[in-house]
Amino acid sequence: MSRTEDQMDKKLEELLRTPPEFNLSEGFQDRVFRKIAQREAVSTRAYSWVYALAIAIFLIAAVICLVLFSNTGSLTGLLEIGSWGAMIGVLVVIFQLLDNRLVRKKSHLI
Amino acid sequence: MLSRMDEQVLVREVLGGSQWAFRQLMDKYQRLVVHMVARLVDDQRDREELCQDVFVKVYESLGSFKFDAKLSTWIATIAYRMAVNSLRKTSRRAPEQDLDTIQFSLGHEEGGMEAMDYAKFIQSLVGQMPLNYRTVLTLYYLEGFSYPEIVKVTGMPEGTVKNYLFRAKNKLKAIAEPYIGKEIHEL
Repeated sequence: MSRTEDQMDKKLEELLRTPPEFNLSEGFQDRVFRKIAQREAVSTRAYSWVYALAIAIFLIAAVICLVLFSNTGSLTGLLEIGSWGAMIGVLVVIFQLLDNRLVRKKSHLI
Repeated sequence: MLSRMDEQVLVREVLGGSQWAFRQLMDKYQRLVVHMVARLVDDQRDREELCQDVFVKVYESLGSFKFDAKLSTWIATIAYRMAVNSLRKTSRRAPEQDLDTIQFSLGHEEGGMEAMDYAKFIQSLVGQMPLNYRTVLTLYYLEGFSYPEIVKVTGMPEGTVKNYLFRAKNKLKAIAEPYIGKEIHEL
């Protein structure tokens, strides 16, 4: 490689290392935090709706069962099944809460 | 850039809920994200929005970062993918041409360039190159990434990365030689 070519290479590499002219505006980091907070609020709302819907379905199902079986002798068995269902439901809610707090670890930042 | 140990501490602090730690992380890697986005996305209005989205994504995905690469490589990968997705969505760019078929616009009359404009001139030429060429040039020269790191970010084979760098540099040299070469001869 000739000396001129070598210099040309060096000059080109030097120019390629020049950063593009673009700067972020003031308050960029605050806007990132706001965006994170907005997304978390949306996600929390979505979770709340899912929980509310699940509880509503559970209650409606319980009422229907009570109405259907109230005149038969199997009401005691039904209540026992219902209490197991409620216990599983509570465990699912606890699991979701732990998942949100320990695994995702999002809620403390903002 | 941070050492592996510092990276781990910083990431753990962010995951632990420290806002200060996430600000530190943004301070450290803002330059990398800005360079990637500025080189890949032409629209000024989209750039800042995209930089914000990259850091939101970094924050939301940090729990899945397994320290199997440098944090800078991981963040550059996110920035690269999000920039490419953004370009696909907006579809403002014409379909990518081959490097050899591009008619580069020089943006000035021959001989009418000041020495201080050389950097802008080269940046304008890089900006007219296909996306993959711009990406490897940015990562290699601007960020000082190694070949394996560029492979990790772009998913291209190492041979392709080297080939893109070689061809891009030759192309730039061929176009810029009449201008920059003149300055060198005068030295």
